[in-house]
Amino acid sequence: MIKAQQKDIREIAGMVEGCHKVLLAGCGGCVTVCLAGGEKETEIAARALRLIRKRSGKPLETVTYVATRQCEPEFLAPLDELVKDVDAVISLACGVGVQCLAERYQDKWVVPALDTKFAGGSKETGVWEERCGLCGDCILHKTGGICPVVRCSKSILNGPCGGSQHGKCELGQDIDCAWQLIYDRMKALGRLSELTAVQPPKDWSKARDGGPRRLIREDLIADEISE
Amino acid sequence: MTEHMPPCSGACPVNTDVRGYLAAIARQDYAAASRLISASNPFPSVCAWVCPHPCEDNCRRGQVDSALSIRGLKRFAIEAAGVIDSPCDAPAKKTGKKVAVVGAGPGGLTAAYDLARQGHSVVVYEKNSGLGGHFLTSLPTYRLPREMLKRDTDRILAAGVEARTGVEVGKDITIARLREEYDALIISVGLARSKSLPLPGADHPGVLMALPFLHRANTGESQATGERVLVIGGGDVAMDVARTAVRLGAAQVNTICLELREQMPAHAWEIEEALDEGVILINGYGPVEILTKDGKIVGVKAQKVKSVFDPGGKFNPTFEPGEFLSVPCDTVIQAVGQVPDNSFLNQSGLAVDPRGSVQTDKNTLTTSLPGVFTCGEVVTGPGPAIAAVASGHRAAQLVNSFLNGAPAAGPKETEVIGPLPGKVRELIPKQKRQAMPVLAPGSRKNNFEPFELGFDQKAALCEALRCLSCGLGARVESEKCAACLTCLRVCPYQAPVVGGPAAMPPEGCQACGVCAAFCPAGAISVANLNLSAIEDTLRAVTEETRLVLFTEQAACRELLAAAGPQMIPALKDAAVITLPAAGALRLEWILSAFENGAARVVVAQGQKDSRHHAGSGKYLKGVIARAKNLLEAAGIPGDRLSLRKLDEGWPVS
Ligand SMILES: Cc1cc2nc3c(=O)[nH]c(=O)nc-3n(C[C@H](O)[C@H](O)[C@H](O)COP(=O)(O)OP(=O)(O)OC[C@H]3O[C@@H](n4cnc5c(N)ncnc54)[C@H](O)[C@@H]3O)c2cc1C
Ligand code: SF4
Ligand code: SF4
Ligand code: SF4
Repeated sequence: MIKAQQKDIREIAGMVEGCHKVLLAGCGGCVTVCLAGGEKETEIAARALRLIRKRSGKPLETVTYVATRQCEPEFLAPLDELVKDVDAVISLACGVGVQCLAERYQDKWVVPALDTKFAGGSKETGVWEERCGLCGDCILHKTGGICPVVRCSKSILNGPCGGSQHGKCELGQDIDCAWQLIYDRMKALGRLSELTAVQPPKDWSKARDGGPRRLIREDLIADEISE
Repeated sequence: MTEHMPPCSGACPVNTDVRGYLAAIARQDYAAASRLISASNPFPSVCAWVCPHPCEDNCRRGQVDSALSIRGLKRFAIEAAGVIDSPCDAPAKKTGKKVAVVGAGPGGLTAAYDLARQGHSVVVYEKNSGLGGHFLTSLPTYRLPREMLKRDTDRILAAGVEARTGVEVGKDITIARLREEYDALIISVGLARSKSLPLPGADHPGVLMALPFLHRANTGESQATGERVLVIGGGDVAMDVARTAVRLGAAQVNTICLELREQMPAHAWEIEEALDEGVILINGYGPVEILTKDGKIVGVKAQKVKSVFDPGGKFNPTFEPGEFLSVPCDTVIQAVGQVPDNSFLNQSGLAVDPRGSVQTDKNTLTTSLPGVFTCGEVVTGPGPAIAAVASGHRAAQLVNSFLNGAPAAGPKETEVIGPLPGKVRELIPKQKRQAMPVLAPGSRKNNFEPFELGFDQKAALCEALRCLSCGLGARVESEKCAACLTCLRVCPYQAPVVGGPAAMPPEGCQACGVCAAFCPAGAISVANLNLSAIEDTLRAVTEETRLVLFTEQAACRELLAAAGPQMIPALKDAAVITLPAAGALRLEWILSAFENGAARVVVAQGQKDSRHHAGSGKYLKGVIARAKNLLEAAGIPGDRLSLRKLDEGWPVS
């Protein structure tokens, strides 16, 4: 799932400095799961902003609402009424949610309260790690289920590099060398020989380099004519 | 929704809200505790002294260390609250219906009290000169001071019940006559006569019966009790008789019963207290003859018991042939059970059962005559008084519906919470049960002074805080749950089950409130956490509020106060919010306190050994650090928020 992190409250406060009333919109999807933008965090952000503004002598009024998922237009309908009399909308969703709101409320100042970090999973309570680079052309079957695109600091496809030291990446002792992990796993699986095949340059046009991406499922595209 | 009932309430015949009143004691709201105790029991003061507390036998704390001292706490609450009025005591609007109750024991008086509060005119006929049944006549005063009984009966009379004492139904007035005068009748005559064993020599005047013996002792009437007393019987009544004989000055008191010590029907504590007072038990012998010489009792001959119960568990004693024992004594007191006094049946027209007692349908409490009901021990047989009270409630309900011509309400849907899962049992910190202080045997066995002294406030608070709040745990609003697993990860007991939406099985959940503090979706509510009261307290915070104190139960105000006098001034103007565990604290609350103007916020954690939920505070440091960062963003110095552990002492500097 998408992992995000709340921005420093001062930064958020700065974005809505001139506003008297704001709507804080939380999201019940990924950012609830990663404890960044669900009901609880929306409430914390609202109270913290009010406190900051009260202390600076310019009280702020807040309204809060948590959409089931901000990335689906249908779930945004209940916000339509709420946005009417606010000066700004603070979205506590990932970048997708922020944009959905901005798109829906053309005349509103919509700002992000979160930094959308990565696609990952949870390691332990309060710790999440990146696992997928969203490259659009998965190669995990060739790399023992370990993604070199995001887990190797240099995204090397034929690793490791010379900086791999005792299983750690040269960038820091707290980073495992992805290629060491790949090597160990393939060895354990008895598939080490597969790593001798040289990977050709990756087709990055399937990733972000090919411009904004779009998914179309033909079996879900209604055929208007035959109806 | 099915209500999850804690097993203490489930075991109580009137389902007293034990958990509720223990919590009220813990927050020092003794009036509320007293009201909760009285809500289902018109004999709160009496029961606080003498109830054999089936609740304690079922308390889930017993699976961790030892059961709560529930009766001791009840007594503390009743005494601490004093006499309190309850609005429901006032007599209701009159219905114009008249009910007569025969017998003013706990069964009859409960029925009378309920019916009076429903607006019926109730008259109780009692052959004794006072109210209370066995409470008045039979229970030894060293266990039940009679002012406790008076407190309860006064309240019953205040509800509008009329009592006509000194009237024996069947002799002074007949059932038939009462039927003419009243719309309904409840017979609650109890088991008023002592059973007697038909032994050779049992008709000797020196062979006494338990009930008259106790009655005389209670009224201070003199009676010839010899030097060496032998009590026949192994139940609670036999123990009362033996201990009373000790107090009357007998040099030696033996009891003899068929059962071995561990089979004795008396409660273990009654036996131990009797032993402490010097009573000697002779177990496994059945008396066969009262031995006399020159017209005087000289002993009892008894035969060795082979078995008391048959293989099917039925009482059917067999004896070892030729194995006899003779116990020297000059007084014999029979305490082998009670039977009804059936003289009330005289000219009643009521059908009788094979035992010669009134024939009753145990479910509907009806008799052979329409409008005539029964309740109490005459129906249920011997048991704790609270069972007679329960029977009285039921009778009142049935009579009320009989009078109104409407069916009686069925019981509420409840489910008693099952045992603690093994791993949870291990994780709950052990806390010693407070012992009830008592007079030493030497200072109590020559007088009838109450021998249990009651808890002081500190002991009561410590004891009340041991309650596990069974069933007051977390519930999930499944539509809101994002199945993020946070609750499972932060729960000190790993109680939540997260497959789809999370669920917290009431057996495992210890109601600490930690999960609800961290649930990102606001999906969890914990009954043990009074959210609206917390929000109200926070709303009432103003610029004048010097301190907002979040404290876990174990560190509650008085225990904090006991920690040192320096802190009392700081607490005086504080807004105090008590949490089941400090880990249930929410960052939002801290922000609200400061937003509303609080000068300082302190989060207090109890001492390690009194802490109720081990490991529940492990995220507190992080929460406080994050809160400080937010406060500093608002220009509030971080040191205005602090976490205090009682171990590390006080005061708030
Ligand atoms: C020695 C002893 C010790 C006990 N100790 C405890 C204890 O520690 N804890 C506990 O919970 N329970 C104890 N019990 C049991 C408890 O007292 C009974 O469960 C309870 O009293 C039964 O209530 P009841 O209303 O059914 O009958 P009772 O209390 O027997 O009341 C019946 C009333 O009916 C009256 N009556 C009978 N016939 C007539 C008539 N013809 N006309 C008018 N009035 C009549 C009687 O005088 C009596 O007042 C004890 C019992 C005894 C005997
Ligand atoms: S721990 Fe408390 S709620 Fe649970 S059974 Fe014991 S007294 Fe009742
Ligand atoms: S913490 Fe809340 S949202 Fe997450 S699984 Fe538990 S109940 Fe569901
Ligand atoms: S965290 Fe506390 S309230 Fe929540 S499930 Fe666990 S024991 Fe129950």
